Amino acid sequence: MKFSALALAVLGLFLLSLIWDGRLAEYIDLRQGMLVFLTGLGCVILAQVVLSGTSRRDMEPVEISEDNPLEGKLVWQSSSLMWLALPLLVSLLFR
Amino acid sequence: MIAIAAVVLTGSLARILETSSGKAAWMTVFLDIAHRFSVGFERIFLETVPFLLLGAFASAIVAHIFTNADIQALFTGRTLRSVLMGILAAVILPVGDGGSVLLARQLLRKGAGVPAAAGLMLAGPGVNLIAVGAGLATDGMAGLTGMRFAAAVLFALVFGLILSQENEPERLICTKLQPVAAGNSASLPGLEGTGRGGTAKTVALTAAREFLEFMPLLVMAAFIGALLQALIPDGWIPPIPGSVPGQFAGAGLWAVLTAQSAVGDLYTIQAGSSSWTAGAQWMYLLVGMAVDIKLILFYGRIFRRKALLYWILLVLSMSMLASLAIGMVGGVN
Repeated sequence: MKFSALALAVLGLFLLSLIWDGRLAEYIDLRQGMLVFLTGLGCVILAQVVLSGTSRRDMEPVEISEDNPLEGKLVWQSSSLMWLALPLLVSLLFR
Repeated sequence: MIAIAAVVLTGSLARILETSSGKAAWMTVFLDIAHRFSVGFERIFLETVPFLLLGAFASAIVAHIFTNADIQALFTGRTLRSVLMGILAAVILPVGDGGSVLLARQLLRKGAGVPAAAGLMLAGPGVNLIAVGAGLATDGMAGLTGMRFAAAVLFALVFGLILSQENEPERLICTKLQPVAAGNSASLPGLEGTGRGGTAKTVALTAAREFLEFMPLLVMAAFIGALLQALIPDGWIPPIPGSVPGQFAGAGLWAVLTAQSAVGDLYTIQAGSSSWTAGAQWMYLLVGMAVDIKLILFYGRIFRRKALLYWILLVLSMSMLASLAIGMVGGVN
């Protein structure tokens, strides 16, 4: 879940940075800026909550077993956060 | 990995070409395609993320605050009442594009009937508070917003009633969404909060998990949609002059590919209202609200393929009829 917190934090900061440097207007109508701003803020706060709520559990070893596929799913999701690279790369490279 | 590599290569090439002195024809075409791709991608992503986050929170609240019995009392059965309850929930709760899918999935896990959950999920984008509020606050869009609201209710009602005729829900929805026997359907080992603020923390953790679970789908939808937007011929992008079927087909296709939120598409229509015909505007709003590329991917996590296909066909046929009627009347103000 630490990776999830990291992903949320990066996503939140990315959304806020688009507003900060004014590039949001290149993509969407600025009347939706408040929604994006609140979402960015929400992602950052959520990242903090996730980090504080799971830090103790993350220190314990996670057993992936057939009896408990959900835990395995969580680990898989944490390690497959590469999707986040796409919106960041598109925003950085296609200026 | 392939998508990331393609974006890196194309983006780097675009940066190099932008700074180069030569402006050959192929460079201009390439840069135009790259620009259209990036704007299309980020637009789909940025417009959907807020609704997805809201939906994740709504889903987490349902998971941890309400019991299965509460949900089943409100949304059970295969009746007109249950479909109407689903639509009413979509009106009250601020869950639109994508968010309504997360909420509907949670309701199904809690034992809600398929027609009710489908009614909520399908009506959500067109009737949620944010979309309606934004439409009413936008100059000249109150009429279209109201008509879209009515159309969303009608679409969801018709499809919900069609689904209610099926006795075996596993033929309509994915088997993983069958309700759990009892207790808290969303609890995962180690996610339960304890002590002061424990419930709030658990809700936040569940919301984060659900939000991130749907993110790859959104990125995939944005990538496919943006790629197709960049590659289709300019002549297919509305406003398309000429025959009525051509205008409708162009508006419908563009609505599917641009996958704008129910708020963003109103602003697009407002900006181009002078050049779009009334029927094309209507087609864009209805198709975009119901079956754009991200919604098709999201709905695919709930419905089986046949049910999803029926929904797409229903929306396209009813949107075509409604657009023809609006076009003949001459528009809605």
